[in-house]
Amino acid sequence: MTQAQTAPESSPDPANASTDDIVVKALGLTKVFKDFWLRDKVRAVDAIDFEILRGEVFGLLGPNGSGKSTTIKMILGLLHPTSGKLAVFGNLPRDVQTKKRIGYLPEETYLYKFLTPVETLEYYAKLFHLPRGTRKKRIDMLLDMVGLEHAANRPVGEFSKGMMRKVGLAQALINDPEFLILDEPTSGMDPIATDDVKKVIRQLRDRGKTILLCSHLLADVQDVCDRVAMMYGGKIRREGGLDGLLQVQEKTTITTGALANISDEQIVAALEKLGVTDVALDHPRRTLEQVFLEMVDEAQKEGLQTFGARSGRDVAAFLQGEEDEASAEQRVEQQREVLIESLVSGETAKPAPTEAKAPVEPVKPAPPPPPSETDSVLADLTGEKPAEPEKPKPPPAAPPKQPDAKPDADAGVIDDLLNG
Amino acid sequence: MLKLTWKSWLAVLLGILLVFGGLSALISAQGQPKIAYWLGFAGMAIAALWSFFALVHWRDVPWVKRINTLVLATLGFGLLILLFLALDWEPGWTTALYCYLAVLGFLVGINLLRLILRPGHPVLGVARTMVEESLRMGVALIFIIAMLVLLPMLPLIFGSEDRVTYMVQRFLTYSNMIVAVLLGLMTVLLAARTVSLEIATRQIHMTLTKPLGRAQYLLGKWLGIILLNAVLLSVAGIATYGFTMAIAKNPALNALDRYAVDREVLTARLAKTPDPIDTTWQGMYANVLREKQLTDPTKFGDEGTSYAMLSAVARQEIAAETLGRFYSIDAGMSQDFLITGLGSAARAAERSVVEGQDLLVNEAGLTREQATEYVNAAIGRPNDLDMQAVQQVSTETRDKVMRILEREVIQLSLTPSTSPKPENLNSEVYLKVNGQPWPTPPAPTAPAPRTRLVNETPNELPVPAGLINNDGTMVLTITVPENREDGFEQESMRFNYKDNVIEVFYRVGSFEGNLFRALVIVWLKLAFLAMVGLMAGSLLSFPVAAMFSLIVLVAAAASGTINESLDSYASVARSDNTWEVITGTFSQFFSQLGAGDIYSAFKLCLRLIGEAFMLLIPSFGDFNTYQPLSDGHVISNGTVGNAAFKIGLIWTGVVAIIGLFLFNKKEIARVQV
Repeated sequence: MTQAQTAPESSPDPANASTDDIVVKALGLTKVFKDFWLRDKVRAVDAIDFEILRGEVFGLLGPNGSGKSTTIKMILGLLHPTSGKLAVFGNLPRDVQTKKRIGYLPEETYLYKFLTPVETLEYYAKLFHLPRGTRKKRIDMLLDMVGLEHAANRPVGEFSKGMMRKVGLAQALINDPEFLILDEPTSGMDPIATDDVKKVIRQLRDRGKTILLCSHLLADVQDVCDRVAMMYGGKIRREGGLDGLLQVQEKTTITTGALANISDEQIVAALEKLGVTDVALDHPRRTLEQVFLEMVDEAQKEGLQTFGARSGRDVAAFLQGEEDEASAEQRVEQQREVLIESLVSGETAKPAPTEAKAPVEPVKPAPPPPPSETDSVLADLTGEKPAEPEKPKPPPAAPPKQPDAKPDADAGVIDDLLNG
Repeated sequence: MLKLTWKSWLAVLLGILLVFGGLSALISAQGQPKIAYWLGFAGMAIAALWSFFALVHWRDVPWVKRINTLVLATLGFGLLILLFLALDWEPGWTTALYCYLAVLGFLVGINLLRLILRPGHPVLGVARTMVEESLRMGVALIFIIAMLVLLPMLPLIFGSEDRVTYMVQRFLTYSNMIVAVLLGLMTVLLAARTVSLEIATRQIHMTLTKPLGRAQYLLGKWLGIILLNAVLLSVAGIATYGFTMAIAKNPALNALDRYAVDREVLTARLAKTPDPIDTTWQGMYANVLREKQLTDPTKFGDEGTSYAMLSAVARQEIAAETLGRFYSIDAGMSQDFLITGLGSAARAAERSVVEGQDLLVNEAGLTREQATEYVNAAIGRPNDLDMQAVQQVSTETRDKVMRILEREVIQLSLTPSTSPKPENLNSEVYLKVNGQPWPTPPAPTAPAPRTRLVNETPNELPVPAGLINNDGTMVLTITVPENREDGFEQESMRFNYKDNVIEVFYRVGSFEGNLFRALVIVWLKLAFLAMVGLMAGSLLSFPVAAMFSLIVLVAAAASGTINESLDSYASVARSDNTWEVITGTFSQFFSQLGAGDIYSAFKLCLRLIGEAFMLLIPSFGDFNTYQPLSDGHVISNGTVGNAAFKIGLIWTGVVAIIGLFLFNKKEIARVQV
């Protein structure tokens, strides 16, 4: 197996990362707030070292006042470090060119209340020097994605908190950022919208984008993060891959289909015969979130109206790496050509490389955690490799953790975006 | 049921307007204007209601709102104008018409602004948002309403018994003041609020984390405010001009009143004062110096000491004495004042003279020589008028010629000082312009008429520009007679040389051009205030920033008065040499301290602090626009250029550089631990 195929299986390892792979690097980063007499008042961030690598979803966790927001604000150039070094894409955080590559959703959405969502997004798109055509296309796509197209011309001041949050998310994505900073992205959002956000995060990760996620909702973090750092009192107390942190090595879970003809006692007896002790049997439970999502899905299928934001939409095409309809048409044309060729030659048609991209998921109950990471852990433990077809990610077209191996199509789109 | 679409709405609207408009035109043609007005009024009312319905029906479509605002404004004001026309109330419909033009100007201007700010540059994006912010907060609307309510009310305050000249002058002064104050306050508060509030509510976090420099952010904000100001000033200009013209159309008290409105107020005149490089003047300096040297050789030196060798204080004394003498004329004596640089007035006069002569030759059939003499007599030049030729000229032609000649008239402005005798409210003088008595004696043999001047008031006397020499020079001779006609005792006549007491005004431009330049200067001042407000807002909280900016606004607006007050509060030695002033002030301070006069020393200190503060504030008083506009004095392109350089470039630039330096150092986020 090539390196490009194996890399996504494992958690990113900062120790082996090259300079190009490092998006954020902090060394001895410290922020001290001083009082009027220049005496230390609060040591918000205390000599922390960390790196965020290209293509990973990095979670920053910690209780209130642990220094997460201060760290993020320093990464964004809104606060200056008191001491230590901080580089974003190898530059100073305040470098204007660096900011072109960043998308930011703050903890609370601070929007101009007198502007409509279209005007808001138009404003932020202009700050990124996006040409008019691209601006219009992306605004339409993003509003459709966050389900606000019906409220596109209402002032944002009339919106609920969740709707404002969605406009905030849309503005953070308008530049198709290489590095997305999300501070409590799901606060104020309903479970469907939360699921949408996670979908966007996964989609972007699959395209090799880097995401810094800061959240109190640990379930959300657990769902999407590759690596986390936990802060307390301005220091990082834990840091590492999610699997390493969460896996309980001493216990094993076996999941099978429904066992209609075998009683629990028979299974326990069978396992005890194999020398397994402390056996407990239970039926897997759905989460409340899954049940909720099912309900909304049904209601939407029945065509019930809502005046609020509509959720459960597809991720905007440009965030999936499809900048416009023309490129989608080209892809369909390519697939058709491959199919005709295979029929003529008598071989089975193989999908074009881009076809294998993560398909847009329909609204459905929250999927179980992707098996790939568990599989890779199991594979590490057993020395075996997980079955190839069960691996839903990474898509061959965009191996997430190997930027060097990114297909030309993606690079082309990003280049286009950067060059306007 | 038929679905209402845009096309059907528009068709119905046009239908209403066509039907009622056509009917109204038909009835008007039948000689029933009143019924036509009322019909038009009814049509407008129905169209307005139909339009209002559309506004509600398609309220979520942005361009519907824009179009409909325009349509509603047109129909609403149309209704008002028609109503006043039907009631035959002229001031009402003219005022409504100008209000409508102002509103139309605003709507067109704002949409033009949106078009200008449409391109995708980040700075333009920030500017556009700034404009939308002020529009949707209703700031601009409040200004427009306040202006359109206050300005038409001004003539009501003046009353109708006054002279039209005064009404126009007062309106111009107060309307410009109201516009400048309203826009000044709006600019300062808007600028101080926008950045400080964005920092307080953290909106700025979203903006400054985008690829936008802090300088670009502030530049965008500033651009938005000054462009909005440009639109609002244009609206104010339309309203001021319209209302001024409406007031000027009021019936004048007399011919002099009408003359003053047209030639002294609604015009742009340049003033010339007597030339200081006059030989008389030079000689007077020498005489005064010699006299002083004889009485006080320690201060003024001996005979060999020249004027330039004297100390600053001694020079000031000599200059004051000389000017005092130059501008005072004893009873029975004459004084010549040379005024130069009137070339353009002389050339314009010559053109009107030739035009008048041509008319006499062509219409009255005079010979060229006869026509020349006729015109010379009409404008007071020496002449050899053939009375027979005069008989040939019809009354109609004579009036035409006089109108042509009166077109080029200069004004001589004389302001005598108050007489020591309180009963002498007037001064009596004989005037000569380039040797010719003015006013022209009724007959060549008649004695020259005396001119009575009201003391302490500028007396403007119209003089034909044709009396100016071709090289643009004019010698004004003022003779004070030995006896007064009113029987009071004659005395010497004095002019206070510090003010411009003898001036010659001549037309150099139009009132419209003058108003435009005045508005440009107000706009430059607002641009400076916007920068002050923005910088204060970027560093301080809103209340503090607003207070600071308001102090700057008041200090800049009242800089002239404040400087005068400081001057009279504690006096210091004056000199052209700054170093002499500094050393003089310090020696004065220490000598006062040494003499135990602590109070005076303290006052001197306060003055210095005040002066240091005023040094940091641009003097808006140097670019006063109210007075020149109401006096019909030209605000030259040079003055506008000077204001652009000093206020627009230097002061605004200095504030921008200092503010930006501090803003760049500032941490935008706050402690949240």
